[in-house]
Amino acid sequence: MLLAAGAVNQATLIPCTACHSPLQIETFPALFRQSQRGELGTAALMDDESTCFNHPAKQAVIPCQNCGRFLCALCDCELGGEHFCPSCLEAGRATRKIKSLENQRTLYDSIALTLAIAPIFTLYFTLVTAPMSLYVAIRHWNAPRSIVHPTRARSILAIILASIQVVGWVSIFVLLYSLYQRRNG
Amino acid sequence: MAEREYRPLARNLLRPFVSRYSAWLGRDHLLSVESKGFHERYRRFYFRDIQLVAIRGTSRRATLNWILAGSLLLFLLLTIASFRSGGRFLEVITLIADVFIATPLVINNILGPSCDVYVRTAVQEVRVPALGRLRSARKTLNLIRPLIETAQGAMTSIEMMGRLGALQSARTPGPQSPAKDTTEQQLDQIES
Repeated sequence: MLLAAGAVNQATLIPCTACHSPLQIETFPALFRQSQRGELGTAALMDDESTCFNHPAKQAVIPCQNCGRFLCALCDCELGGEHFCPSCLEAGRATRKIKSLENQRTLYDSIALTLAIAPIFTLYFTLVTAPMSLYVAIRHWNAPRSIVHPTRARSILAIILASIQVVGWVSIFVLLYSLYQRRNG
Repeated sequence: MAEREYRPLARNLLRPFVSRYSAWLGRDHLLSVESKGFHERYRRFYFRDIQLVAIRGTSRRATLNWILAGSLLLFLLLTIASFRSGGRFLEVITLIADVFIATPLVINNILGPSCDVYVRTAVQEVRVPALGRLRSARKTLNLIRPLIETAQGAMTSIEMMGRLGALQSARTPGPQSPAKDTTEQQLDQIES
């Protein structure tokens, strides 16, 4: 992408001087910001000074917001305005407690709902899929849902539909059994 | 009722059977979501990190128009032929096919010109597939611009032009030998 400085931040598409693609480019001050060099931490000079949990020779600058350990500038991991130590950050990523570190999710509520809805038209498959749907919905009741659709509506709907199907099948089997008993009894 | 964490911005309407993409507005970032089957992948672009947003006009709408219009024409001919031959079943089938092709054709034109949107930060330059139409891209840009400026601080257009000019001239290769890069300098400092 090659544009003259005057062609940037215009509200219309302007052809690129190299490839002639129509382009609209909006720049922001971060483009001119120098990339910050990582802090190495300052050495502790006095005996009564708070020092880093991981580096006892370095000054503590902030406590970890999760475990409370004192951290030097090198160990301080800032994320969305919160400060964590590297181990809490890693644990938060592994246990999915820090939402902003998650970059993918499996939607168990959608799986349960699909299992409850999709086979309705074939009817016979619901004998298998309804208990499966119930299992998935209940087993993953507390699993993280979609970040953008965080409600339990799908899980609840899946449980209701799957329960109706299970009750229907149980009723059919009870009816068939009672008919069988009546014929042979 | 609790306030929703994300506000919907745009989504791909004409890609229901493959990966679906959507863009959402968060408190301090733009979220791009790729939904594939029962999985969702997220990409966050924090307002404080966005360096530039580039919108590139594409010919996707025209291509889709040609494909859909050609198919529609073909099925319309089949419909006419089936009406002439009097096959009731074939008439219904071809009419349904006409509606199925005409609907995305109409939607494609209602949505307006197509584009690709790229968001650049210090570490990545990524396409946001949900913003595939010029209208939604500009609407989103107008929405996030003040938020980015709040996060990064506003810069006058004159100052921006001056800095852009300086940046371009700095990137032009000169006759001098290249200076040590930042990583090399950092390594030197750690060693010392």
